[in-house]
Amino acid sequence: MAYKYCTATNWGKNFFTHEERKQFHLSGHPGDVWVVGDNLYGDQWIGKVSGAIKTQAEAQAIVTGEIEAAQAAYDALSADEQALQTRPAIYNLP
Amino acid sequence: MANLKTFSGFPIQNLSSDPVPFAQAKINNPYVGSWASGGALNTARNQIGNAGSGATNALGFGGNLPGGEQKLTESYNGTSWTEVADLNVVRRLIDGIGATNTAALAVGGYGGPPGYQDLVEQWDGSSWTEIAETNSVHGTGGSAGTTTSGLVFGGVPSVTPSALTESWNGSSWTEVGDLNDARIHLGSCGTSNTAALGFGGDTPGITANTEQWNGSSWTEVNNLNTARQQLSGAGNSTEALAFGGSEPAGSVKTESWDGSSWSEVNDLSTARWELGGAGLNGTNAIAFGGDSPGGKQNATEEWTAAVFTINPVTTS
Repeated sequence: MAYKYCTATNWGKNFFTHEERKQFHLSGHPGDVWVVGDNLYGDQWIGKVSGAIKTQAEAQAIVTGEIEAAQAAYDALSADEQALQTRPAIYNLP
Repeated sequence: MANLKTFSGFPIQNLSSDPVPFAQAKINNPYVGSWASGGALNTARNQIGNAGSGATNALGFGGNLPGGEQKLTESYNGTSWTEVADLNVVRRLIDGIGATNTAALAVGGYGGPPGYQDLVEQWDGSSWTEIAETNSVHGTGGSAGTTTSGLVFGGVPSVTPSALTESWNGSSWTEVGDLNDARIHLGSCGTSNTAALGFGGDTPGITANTEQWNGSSWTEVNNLNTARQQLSGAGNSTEALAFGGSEPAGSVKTESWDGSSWSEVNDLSTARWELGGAGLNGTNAIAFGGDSPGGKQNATEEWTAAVFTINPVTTS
């Protein structure tokens, strides 16, 4: 499946609708990065949310940076606190 | 004169009964649906207690921020979250009970010191009041029911996870039959102390195991398709949803329970674990907050099952 990548801030209600979720792939990632199915409906959604188009590499760099920041925050916690939480792990965008 | 086939490219079918795709779709999975975005929590957090009836009515209480446990309570009306009166005692990993945002129980949870607690607070729509304590400490477990008929089970990390189940009748807690598989961080749902589901969790080791409560004992039933912990659930023992969690990677997966088995349905948009969730059936639910690879979440997603409609056409 082909994807497009963009950044957009989730404003809440109707940022994405039930109907849109059935029309194209959509997944949210750290740094307000969205992976969007590359079809007409996906393009319309990017326009609706005023998404800023990114390359896959650019989107991955944003996601990785956000996760590294979250890892640093986790590593700064006490051992007791770390035992109650999960350390974020870096992953690759599709 | 051109006929209709020429214009449209295919003939109109004359059917005397429902077309198969509609009927078959309902038979295959009556709960198929999708997640849409909802109003964001005012305060992003994970390990949040939850209650409510679904996408238009929910309550989130307690939870965790980088600064530690919270006593914040927020109420959802289908559009936005509103901060309401705080818990009396700061806690996270609370076992939340309640079928509406105007009546809920916050059972146990972690607030250090002393750590895990036997404290219970009741929400009446405007404030929290301490009521009868549980017999044992609780937190990170499963829960089901209402403020007059509730159930908490499993949870509480220690040397070994707990299988303990306690039943609430509106005035006191009674120890009842244990889970077959002791565990923490399980998903759960149920609308009374006589019918509930517990699924997934950490035993230790991430499990897909599902158990069903009939009011007196737990029975192992069909497993989740994807083993995970720190997930959330909505519904009852005959129609339910399991969503999110940690596989250990953050999960977007949603599964629907039809009373006998789990089926994968449409994913959440954002992977997260230790999220809140509420709903009384498999067709209307809410997911909110949680932790993610990028940090604490304030996002809300609303689940609504697909609406199947028949549009009859009369021909003569």
